[in-house]
Amino acid sequence: MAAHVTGIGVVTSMGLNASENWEALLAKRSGVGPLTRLQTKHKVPAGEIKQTNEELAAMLGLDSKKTYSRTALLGMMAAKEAMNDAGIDPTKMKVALISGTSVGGMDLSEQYFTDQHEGKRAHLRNLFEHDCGASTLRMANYLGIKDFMTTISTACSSSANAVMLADRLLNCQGFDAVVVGGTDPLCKFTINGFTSLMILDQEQCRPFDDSRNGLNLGEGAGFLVLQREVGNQKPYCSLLGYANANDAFHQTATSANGEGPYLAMKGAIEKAGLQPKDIDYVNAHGTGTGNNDLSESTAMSRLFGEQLPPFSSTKVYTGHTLGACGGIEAVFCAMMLKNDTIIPTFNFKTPMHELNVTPETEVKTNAGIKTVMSNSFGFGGNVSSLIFFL
Amino acid sequence: MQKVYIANTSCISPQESFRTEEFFSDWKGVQTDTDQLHAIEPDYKTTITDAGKRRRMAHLIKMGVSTSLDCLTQADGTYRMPDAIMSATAMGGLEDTEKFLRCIIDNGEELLNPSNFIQSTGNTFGGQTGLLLGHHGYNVTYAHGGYSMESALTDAMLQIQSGDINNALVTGADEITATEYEVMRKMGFWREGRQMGEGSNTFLLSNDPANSFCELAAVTILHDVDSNNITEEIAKFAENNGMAPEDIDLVLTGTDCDKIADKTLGTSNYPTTDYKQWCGQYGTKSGFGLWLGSQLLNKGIAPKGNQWEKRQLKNIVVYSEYRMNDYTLMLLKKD
Amino acid sequence: MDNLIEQLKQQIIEELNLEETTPADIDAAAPLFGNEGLGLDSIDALEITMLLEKYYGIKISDPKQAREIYSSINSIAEFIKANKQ
Repeated sequence: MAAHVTGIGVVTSMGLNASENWEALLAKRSGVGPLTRLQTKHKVPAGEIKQTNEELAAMLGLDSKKTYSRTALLGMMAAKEAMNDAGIDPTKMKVALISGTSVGGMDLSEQYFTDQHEGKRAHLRNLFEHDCGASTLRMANYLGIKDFMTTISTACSSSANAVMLADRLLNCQGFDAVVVGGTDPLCKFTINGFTSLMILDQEQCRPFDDSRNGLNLGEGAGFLVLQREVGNQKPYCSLLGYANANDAFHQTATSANGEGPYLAMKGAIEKAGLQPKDIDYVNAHGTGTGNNDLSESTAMSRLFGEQLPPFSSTKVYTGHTLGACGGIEAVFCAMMLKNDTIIPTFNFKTPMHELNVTPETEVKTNAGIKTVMSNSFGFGGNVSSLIFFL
Repeated sequence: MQKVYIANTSCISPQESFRTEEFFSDWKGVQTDTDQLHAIEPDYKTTITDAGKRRRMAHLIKMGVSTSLDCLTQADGTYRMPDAIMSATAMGGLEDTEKFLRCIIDNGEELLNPSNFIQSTGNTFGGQTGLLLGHHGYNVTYAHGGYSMESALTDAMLQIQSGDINNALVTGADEITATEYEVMRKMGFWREGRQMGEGSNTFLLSNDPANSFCELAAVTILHDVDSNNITEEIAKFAENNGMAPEDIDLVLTGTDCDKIADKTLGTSNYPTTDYKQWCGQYGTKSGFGLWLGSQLLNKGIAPKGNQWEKRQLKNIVVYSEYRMNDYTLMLLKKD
Repeated sequence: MDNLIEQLKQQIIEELNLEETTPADIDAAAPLFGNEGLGLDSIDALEITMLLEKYYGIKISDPKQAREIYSSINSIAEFIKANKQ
């Protein structure tokens, strides 16, 4: 029996809840712009959430004297929204929390090292939030989840992989609900990291466009509530299939023939008991780097042949939110299915010279979508695909 | 539901544990004059033979990849291809993370070394193992503090039990870094005889009992348990797995800072041996406990110097605790 | 020029951690990337970029330009000579 998506929650540079995000998606209003909050010398656009940690903590009603990483704060906000949306109460049912993140409490670690460098008093408590699991623990405490929690860190596919474990927990371990998704903050660490890889575009990213020149980073969190049994409320959609594959090609680059992405998409379709022709829309990983978009398109062409379904990348709205993107885009897919609407890559102009594929460029209502696939690919060759069904 | 067996293991630790039986011949290796137990590392040229692939690997990755490959090495020198690869690390590439952070902060965001950034991510040794094997299957890394190892094992067990896969390679690794040591020192953590450790522990889990070391019957993570009730929790764990508490022949303990739980366990009727004395404190240390337990059952021996040294061990519980008020229990069985 | 070439070889061996390679093993005219020569990859290219900035104060921000300059040790040396500040 498939797991139902009974609640959603999302925080991105477009807005702090699902309805603000949906409004921006429909209006083709991107959250990517100049950095104003984060202090860095790199002049790159990013999907930055303008609230400070203190402001986020206040909105969550947290004790201002306690230390919370930005990862934990964003995750709390999205997961809480998803739980409220589903109406689940962890004191009355068996609930698990699975979160994906790539940098954990890095914003606080940066603070510690900066204070130390500047000869200020560096607070040890800032380092205790460093490991990825610490953010999940903070979230679990805030959400009141005690039965099970864990953290997955497979770079940019972290939260998609979390969704797979959620389904297995629901199948085998008698959980009533799993709160699952991912969270990652913008921080100097990733901005400098991707700068060192020379794959940050100095302008807004252009997924699948011949002129694409790299990705924009973003921050945020996206969480789902998955349940086997649903009450009176109609679920958004069901999780029908998923697969994780390893590209096994290079530490950071994806193979030219897109072997890993091909295997992940194919595996997810098989797990769902479907054929490629049954997929009505693909929410692509589509980061805007030369390598990813060509490799992903090649894999899609291999799998779907001439019948390439409508596809788009929503990273032009959010930037690449790394460990959170699988969760955020799963929420977007749920909203697209519920509203029967495809959200476009609105700034696409010119197909890649190597491969002529064109993403959706306009918002498509009454799209007739029942089955959608969401791709998330990460460093280390870890690639994953999820399939949701209305 | 399929049962899960440990088909093979590999271990790099502060002991003579990698490709040698030395550790079990003398049971020495307990060092009390230091608060850092560094891993005894193999010559990585023999474990990761491709120099081009090895050159960019940091310490943690070399350890993790070495035990992973070693665990899959067959008699003819080729690697057995597992159905899935699950990895676990509490801290990931901490040394590279620190180097890259210092690069950013001390150099004013200039002269950034991409290798440090790439190697800082938690999924590096899992990804590298897949890359070296040419393995296109399932590959996931858990980074959940002291319960990373248990999380990875849980994922592997769920997939084997349900029949989705036949076997899985599970590796947990963490490394000592100067900064983490120093931070913990400032907290006073290394007083009272605690020691920082590091290492990599790999298990090939399988649904095939033939030639296996033992059965991995259960992995449980307990959140929010009262330290005073730890012996009751172990009894409950035994009962949930169809055993009486007195059927537990040995509890291998890896405690951390919970003195109440230590005292409760120490004065209980359970025969206990501290596994952490050999591996030190690190996020995935329970992997060492599991390795030790599976070795004892496979060899039919008990740790030397205990009153139950001569006892025939059949059921071992690996008990771990890590900086939080949570505990993990793992059950190993040999008929 | 010869000194610069030897120095470059040494720096590349160190920065790229080519542990089993000596300067004598590197043919200054041979390709650095791909299956011939040293067989370096895209991450090595980024490290060479960092090396040029660190030791020679030369900043290369276009990866495509970098790929042309890094075709061999000789071509890098020539680029350094022409651009060193």
